[in-house]
Amino acid sequence: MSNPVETVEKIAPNATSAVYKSMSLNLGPQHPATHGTLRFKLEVNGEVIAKCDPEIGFLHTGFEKLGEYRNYNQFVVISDRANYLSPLANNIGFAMACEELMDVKVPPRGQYVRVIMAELARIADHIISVGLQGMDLGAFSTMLWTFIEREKLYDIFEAVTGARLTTSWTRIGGIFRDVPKDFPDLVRGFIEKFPAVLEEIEYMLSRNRIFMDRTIGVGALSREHAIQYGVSGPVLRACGVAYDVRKSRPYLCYNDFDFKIPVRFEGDVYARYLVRLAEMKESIKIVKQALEKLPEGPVSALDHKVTLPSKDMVYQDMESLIHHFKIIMPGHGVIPPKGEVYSCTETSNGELGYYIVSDGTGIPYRIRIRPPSFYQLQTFPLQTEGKMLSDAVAVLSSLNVIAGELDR
Amino acid sequence: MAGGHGHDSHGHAETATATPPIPEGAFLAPGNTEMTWVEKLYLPEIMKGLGNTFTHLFHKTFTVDYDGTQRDDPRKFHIPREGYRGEHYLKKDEAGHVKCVACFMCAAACPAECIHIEAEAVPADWQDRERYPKRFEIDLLRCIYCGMCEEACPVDAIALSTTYNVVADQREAKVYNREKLLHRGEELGISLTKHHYRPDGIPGHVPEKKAGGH
Ligand code: SF4
Ligand code: SF4
Repeated sequence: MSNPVETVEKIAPNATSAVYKSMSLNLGPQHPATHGTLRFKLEVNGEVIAKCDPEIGFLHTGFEKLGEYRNYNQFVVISDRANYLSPLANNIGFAMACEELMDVKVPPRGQYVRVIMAELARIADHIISVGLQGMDLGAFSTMLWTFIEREKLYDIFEAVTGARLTTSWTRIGGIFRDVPKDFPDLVRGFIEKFPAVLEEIEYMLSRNRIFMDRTIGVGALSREHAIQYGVSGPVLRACGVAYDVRKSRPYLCYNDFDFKIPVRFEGDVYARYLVRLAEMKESIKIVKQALEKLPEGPVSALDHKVTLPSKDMVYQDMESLIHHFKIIMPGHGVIPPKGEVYSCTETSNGELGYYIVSDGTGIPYRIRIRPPSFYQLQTFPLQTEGKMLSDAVAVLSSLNVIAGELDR
Repeated sequence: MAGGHGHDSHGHAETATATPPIPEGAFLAPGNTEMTWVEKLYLPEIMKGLGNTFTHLFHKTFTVDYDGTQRDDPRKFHIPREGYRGEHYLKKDEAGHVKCVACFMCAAACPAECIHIEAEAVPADWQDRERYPKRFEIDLLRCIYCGMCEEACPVDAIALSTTYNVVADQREAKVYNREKLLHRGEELGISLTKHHYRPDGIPGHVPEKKAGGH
């Protein structure tokens, strides 16, 4: 396509009045395409975006500040709410940061179960993201079908964690309870049927001319810019950078599994869509392998200075009761050594980091979240300025920006 | 100003055909950005899509016909599994007294700070302990149903049931006091059960059948 600005000037050569040149337009905060409360101050020339200024803060919740008033285990409930599309991955990321700070090792079963759930959370996030990408371009039915898949996943989450969305699943040193007996069957039941659903989505979207016309070459981000802006996740991998925290800084037991990182080189919206589809297939592979190897044993560390002893022991054994009291009582609790840690995990949107400063008390001195969406959103003006207004919507849904995570 | 950014760089749509080397441990996500002429015609694709959508008319309905009344029918009401974290209840001991010993552990563990307890010395005829809660209130409007109170209780006195449709027409109705919480346990027939929050997984723990919800 030729330069859209030139096109507009060709069509309407006289439309150069100041009013015309400087029309400002709000995209959001209550626009359905923002999928959250986000606002973009746009300066438009006709249909061409001359300037784009993203404004965040509409969903400010003070998560980081709240972290300074909750003890380490209690912060898990806040990490749920930061990313409402994949809370489980956030739970795991936070627990891992604390474990690194305290040098606690999670037993193998705990790690495997965490990997399975993290991958399911990735699928739940990607499938919704792909569905919404279709919806924003007019493919409404695909979105409804992807929501069915997420409901099925939420049924699994409900069985495992006891809640559908606010999972609050992990505790420092492990998980608050073991998975139910039929967990492998539940997960298998899902991942066996899921590839067919993916195929259907591909059938509906991948070769659809409207979808292709509106995504190919739209929002193309160069490899250099992606790296400069700190972009991660599918958006970065669609630019040809094979950066995945699961590979570059292997955590949990990801080294045990055979999987690869999908990349594309176009860097546009269509490439992100393809990368997400391929990533879901890789996640299925990981889950299958993890289910095969799922070891027996405890899911939480047995160091009862960090994890709660089992209830039966608490009722019978004095020492366990003391451990139990000490972990919960304010002023005692799980106390990490003085120090700081940065730990990151690969969530569905990219690198989610937690930076924790401990002053040696039971309450964190500071918790800083590195939300992947924030870095993605920074590239939004880069991708949309000088482009058509309707492309902004396609770009935004491909970035999968989570407002809760942005504003913290 | 940023309009120029997209053009001065590599790794762009045009250069993709030259296939840059795939980094180690990665693979090219399958997909083709070129349209065949049939796809360019657009109509065959739209018919394909419509045809597929049409077959969905005959798929089983996934949603629940919720009307809020038929709570035992899974087609009308989502029935959560055991271990769901819903509204609380308080348990009783064999003597029929509230099991809680007013130790404040649940209040300390609660991240939402929604449990309010006032302790009092027990009546003279209760032999087994010293304190019991004179006032025990959970503000369910603040509660986030995390289950940490159940996890924290050292005597298995408080638990979460599978009741999830938490609605009321007045704020006050959602602040549950001791009587209401005890009554809920009776109502659900689970006020005497042992409800282990952490089923198996930790050595020394004998898995037990968990309390039934409703
Ligand atoms: S479920 Fe969580 S928020 Fe609700 S009362 Fe218990 S500890 Fe507090
Ligand atoms: S419910 Fe349990 S934790 Fe809470 S005060 Fe009573 S005995 Fe203590």
